[in-house]
This record gives sequence, C-alpha cells and structure tokens, in this order.
Amino acid sequence: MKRELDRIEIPDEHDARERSWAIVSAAFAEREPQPRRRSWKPAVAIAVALVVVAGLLSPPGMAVLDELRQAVALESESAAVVTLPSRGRVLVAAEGGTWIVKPDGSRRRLGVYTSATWSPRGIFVAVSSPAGLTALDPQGNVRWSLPRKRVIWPRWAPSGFRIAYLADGRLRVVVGDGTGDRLLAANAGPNAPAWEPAINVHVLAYADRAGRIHVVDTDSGQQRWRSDPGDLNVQLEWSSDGTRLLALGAQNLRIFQGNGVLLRTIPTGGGPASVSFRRNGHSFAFARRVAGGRSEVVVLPAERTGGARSIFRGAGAFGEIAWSPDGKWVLVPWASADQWVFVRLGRPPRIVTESEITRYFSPAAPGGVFPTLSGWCCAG
Amino acid sequence: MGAGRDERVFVRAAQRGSASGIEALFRLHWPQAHRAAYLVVHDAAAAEDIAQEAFLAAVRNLDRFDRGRPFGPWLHRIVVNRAIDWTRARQLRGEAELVEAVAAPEPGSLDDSLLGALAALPPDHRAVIVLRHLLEYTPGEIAQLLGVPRGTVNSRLRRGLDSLKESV
Repeated sequence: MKRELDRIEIPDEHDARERSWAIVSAAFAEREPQPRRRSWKPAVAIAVALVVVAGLLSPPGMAVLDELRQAVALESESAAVVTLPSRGRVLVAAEGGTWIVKPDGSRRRLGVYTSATWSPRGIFVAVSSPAGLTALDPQGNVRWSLPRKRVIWPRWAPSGFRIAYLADGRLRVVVGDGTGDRLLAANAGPNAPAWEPAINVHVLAYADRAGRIHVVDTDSGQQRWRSDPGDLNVQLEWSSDGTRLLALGAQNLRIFQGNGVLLRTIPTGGGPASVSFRRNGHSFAFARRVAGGRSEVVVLPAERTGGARSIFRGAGAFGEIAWSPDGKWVLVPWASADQWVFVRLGRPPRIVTESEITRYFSPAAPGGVFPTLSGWCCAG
Repeated sequence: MGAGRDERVFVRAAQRGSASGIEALFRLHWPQAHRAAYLVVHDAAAAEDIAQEAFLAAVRNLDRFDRGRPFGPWLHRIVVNRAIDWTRARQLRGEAELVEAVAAPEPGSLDDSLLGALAALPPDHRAVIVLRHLLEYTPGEIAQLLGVPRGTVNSRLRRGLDSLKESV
C-alpha cells in the first residue's frame, strides 16, 4: 500500500516544493531566533530598552508611542510574518509584486502587476499590467488574458459575470470568462469604477472627467442617474445593500442614496483620504487628514446626520483602509510608520500592529513605496 | 547517524538560526507532508498551501519546539488536520460559483484508481489511511495525532480499507 501511495503523481510537485521553500526560507530569514534555556530577563530588558530608545529617536516610533498614550491595547508588533487578526485574505500590490496574505501569515506572490482585485468570492484575482487584463487563480496561474493598453483598476462584479476596468483612459466591461469585451464610456475619469452589490443586475458607478458620478446598467446601457459635477479624483464605494454610494474626492465626501439623491456632503480637509463600508449596514470608516500633519480614522453612518467616532489617529498619511470580511476589524495602512494597524471596534478599541510592511512585501527594494491594499476578501 | 538523530540536529541548528538547518528539515519532511495533504484533499494547489502553512507554523514556533520530541508527528498532525478541515469546508461550500466557476477546474489526476478510490472515502477515513499506510503511524499514534479514540481509528481503517478493496 505504501508503495502505491508513494507512486501517485502529484501535479506540479517539484514547482510546488520550490515555491514553498522560497516562502518558508523567507519567513525563516525574517524571524528573530531566540536563545534557549538562557537567562532571558537581561535580554528582554535590553530589547525593551532598545525599543524605547528607537521609539524615542525615530519619527515613526514617536508616532507609535504617541498612539500608545491614547490608552489602547497594543497587542503585537512583529515583522517576521505579517498575520491577520481575522479571517479572510488580503490582496496587496507592492513594488516587489502582488501578494495574497492569509491570516496565519502564509502568502503567495502572484507576480508584478499594476493593480489587482478579488473576484466576489475570492476564487480568482483580476490584475492589470502594461500588457493588459489578466484573470488568475489564487495560485497565480493565468486563466485568461486580454491584451489592452494601459489597463488599470479592474473591478469584478458581485455576480462574477462582469469585470469593469480602465484601458487607455476609457472604461470597458468584459464578461468574467474574458469574452465580450466592449467600451462602456470614453469620458471616464481616472478613478476605479464600483459595482452595485446586487448579483442579478450589472449596475456600475463611475466618475467622468468633470467629476460627475454616473450609475449605469452595463447590460442595457441605460443610465440610472447622474450627479452634478464634483471632485475629479473620486473613490466610489457602495454599501452592501446597494442603498448608499460614497463618492470621496479631494475636497468633499458625498453620500448618495442608491437612487442618486444626495444625502450629505462632508469636507475632507484635503490630502489623502479613503472610505470603506462595513460589511452590513450603513456604517463606514473614513480615513482623512486632520490638523498638525496627522490623520485619523472615524466611523460614521451614511445618513443625513450622525456623528463620527474617532477610532485611530496617527502622524502622517494613511493608505486605503479596509474592513475585515466579518466587519469587526478595520485595517489602516499607515504609510508614515510603515505599519499595518488593525483596529477592532470597541471601547476602548483594540489594536494590533504589523511593522516593516514595505520591506516585507518588497524585500529586494529597501526604502521602496509603501504597498497598496487591494482588498480584504472572503472568509475561509 | 539515525534519521531521528539527524532530525534533532537539524531542529537544533534551525533554532540557532541556521538556514541550512531549516532547509534540511524542509527537504526531509516536505515530500511526505505535501503528499499526505494531497491524498486527503485531492487538490494540488490546496495541498501545497496546507503543507506550506504547516511549515510556516513550524518556523513561527521553532523557538518553543521541544527538541526531545520528534518533528515529523508534530508537522503531520497540522497537515492532516488542516487537510480534513479543508475538505469538509469544500464539501460544505459545494463549490458552487457563477462565472467564477467558468474557468475550468484543475483537472487533477484522479485517473489513478487508488487515488480515485481514496477520493470516494470521507475525509477523516482518508486521513487515517494516509497516516497508517503512507506515514506508517500505529493506530495508537494516529489516535493521538487526530485526538480520537483508538477504536475509532481502527474502525475507520477497517471501513476505509474495505472500501478501497472494493474499488481498486
């Protein structure tokens, strides 16, 4: 029996071993070996002292200490393996490649792409490159590819049947299996489109070059509504029930009902900002710059009124935030501190950090660009 | 030098930060860990992930690992339990997907009759067959690895082997 079991051929066995060895050896190289059965108290004391000194001397460290003073529970700070505090997988676009990270820190490099997005259940990833649009499985195998110029911001429809993307400054839509590619709008602005969450229709929101928001049924071509002009660079984000749409620009955050009625406009204060809806309901997290060169993340309702609750503040800039799939954690990419900060809502908030994110995802490019978060998808 | 002693040397070296130590452990244990996962899940990509995750867990916990205990059973426990969990989760999901399922599923190599027969068994039955006949653990050791009574292991082995005999 053993001989028979040993003879069974495993597809891709050799490459699987070498891929895994590359990841395991990288994780091993990044760990800090700890001496065994030796007096540990002096080492701990020295380590604590070094951390404190480093914290006092470096600007990111000062910022970290500043946040600690806000009496939240800081749980860990480790660069050896970046782990997630919640289920789901994170998609990361870095200089060193596009990565999928699992909760336990195991990760897979898909290749070098300019942007990436999950399919609705995380079974595939759509990526863009100078060569075009490509659909990959989570192992990085190419399922199909569509040659187009200057492709960016693919977005997979919740039904799985459509992908919207920009190519050469034009908004296009293709069927989920790579067929039926067609032009949807020639006047799209330089922004990622956003699909309405319904799975029985294909309704897409996009911003044009005048900052108008268009909501269009991509199958019939019928325009459902169009907003007045606004900010040019806009992040669009639907609530999970499709009854709210956020349009975040450089100057204002506009909150629309699903039918186009403008509920509220909130000044952003300028500077980088991002929004992310919680999985259920109308609460959303909003990262924005505040006075003193700092940024903050607040949670507020997408309604006509309702106060904002600050959940995290820090020096410098935050990247695009994301809720965990279970709606319990907000991931705040803190570029200025080179950290991912996971904030679990509660009183007080619970915080877990992961450090040296740039080096972790781009080990061959020290001092490189802080990676972009491309989505936290799908439990399991 | 015996295999067990080799393994202890590799673990000690890896705990001291030796890259060759961890590589030796990886090269020694990857083939069977990967194969065990594959024989339970019947999905090459998932088997790769499961075996990889087990080794990453080993790296994370290396400093706490007791050198007096063998490395293999500890690794195999992670691999087989994760493989069972993965298989059950896939059965629950039903793998129903809209266009995401349009892309062809991995063809796999179920043409092998033994592999096909294994695939017809429940995942926990596959696991005991793999632990007994691939990794060569005793029923008592399997009971400890899976956290089930020894009698359960024996009955799963008997039923599993009976099914395999009928199919192959």
